[in-house]
Amino acid sequence: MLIIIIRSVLLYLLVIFALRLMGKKQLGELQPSELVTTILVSNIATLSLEDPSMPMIMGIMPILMIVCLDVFMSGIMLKNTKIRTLVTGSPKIIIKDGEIDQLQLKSLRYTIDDVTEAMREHDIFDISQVQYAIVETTGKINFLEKQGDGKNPPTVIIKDGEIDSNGLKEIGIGRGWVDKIIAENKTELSRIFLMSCDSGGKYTLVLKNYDIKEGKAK
Amino acid sequence: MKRVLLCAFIIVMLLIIGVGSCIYIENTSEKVVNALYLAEDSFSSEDFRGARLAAEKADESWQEFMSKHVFITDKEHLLEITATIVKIQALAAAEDEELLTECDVARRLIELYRDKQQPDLLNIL
Repeated sequence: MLIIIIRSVLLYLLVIFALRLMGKKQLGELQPSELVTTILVSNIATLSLEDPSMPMIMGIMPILMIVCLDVFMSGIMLKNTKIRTLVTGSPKIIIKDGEIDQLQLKSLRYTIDDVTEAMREHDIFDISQVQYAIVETTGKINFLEKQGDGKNPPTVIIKDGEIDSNGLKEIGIGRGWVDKIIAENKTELSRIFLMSCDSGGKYTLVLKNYDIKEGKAK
Repeated sequence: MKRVLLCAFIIVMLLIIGVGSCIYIENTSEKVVNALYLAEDSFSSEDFRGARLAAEKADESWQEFMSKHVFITDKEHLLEITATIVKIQALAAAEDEELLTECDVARRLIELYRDKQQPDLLNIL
């Protein structure tokens, strides 16, 4: 019996260490890879508690291995947007200007009930009042209500030095326009951390050295 | 970066433990199997003292194997092998012919055990 008590204490400390190693991100909304890690860690941790004949090291080793793989995967996803999209997916717009994208909804396997329920949670009861509804990679639906001026919110068009073609398409601008803005700001694509722009041409540019530039295209 | 380095260190340590345990199991089980062969051969050539010594050696090597049992993934038959090896010692002391059969059983069980610890495709799956 004492063995189980000692094992519980050790596993408790190990799981806390594992969660600290994975970082604070783990404690909020979970991405698919993080959800997998959390489920696996919690299941493996209980195995050596349930079966005293099983050596504790058989629980410790897989937990450490899975957590380390998760940290490596996060590091790779931080550097490579393609792998990030592959593992976590990308946010999807399901309502634009009050119109539901039914195909997108079907591909996400969301029902209209899921959408209306999420709307009610955001105190929105009329779908025509929704400017944008976006399903985030965590599965959460975020809404933007229509503003008085009817303008679309800014869209991210450059992430980590890479152009987001979906973003360009969304606000209806071409690659040439982006190149022009980059040249005007005397910088390079690889040096840009984030660039967002609205349909009116108003943009915000954040460089990798934390320098923020704002402007409006002529 | 510190976190990634710590994880790299942990993974290296885990790999060292994993590979080290495979090598350890391979070597110690080999010792037991060789001692059992020696016991069989000695008994067949009517060297009963030699058979007794070999049986004791097999038991010592098996105890060594068991002392690192935390690295063994399948433990179902550990007690069975331990009982067989203890029985071999008794049979060697009694100069009983059943020793040959028991040595064969113990050797096969140990070989099976050792093979189950190797990271080949069948064991992984």
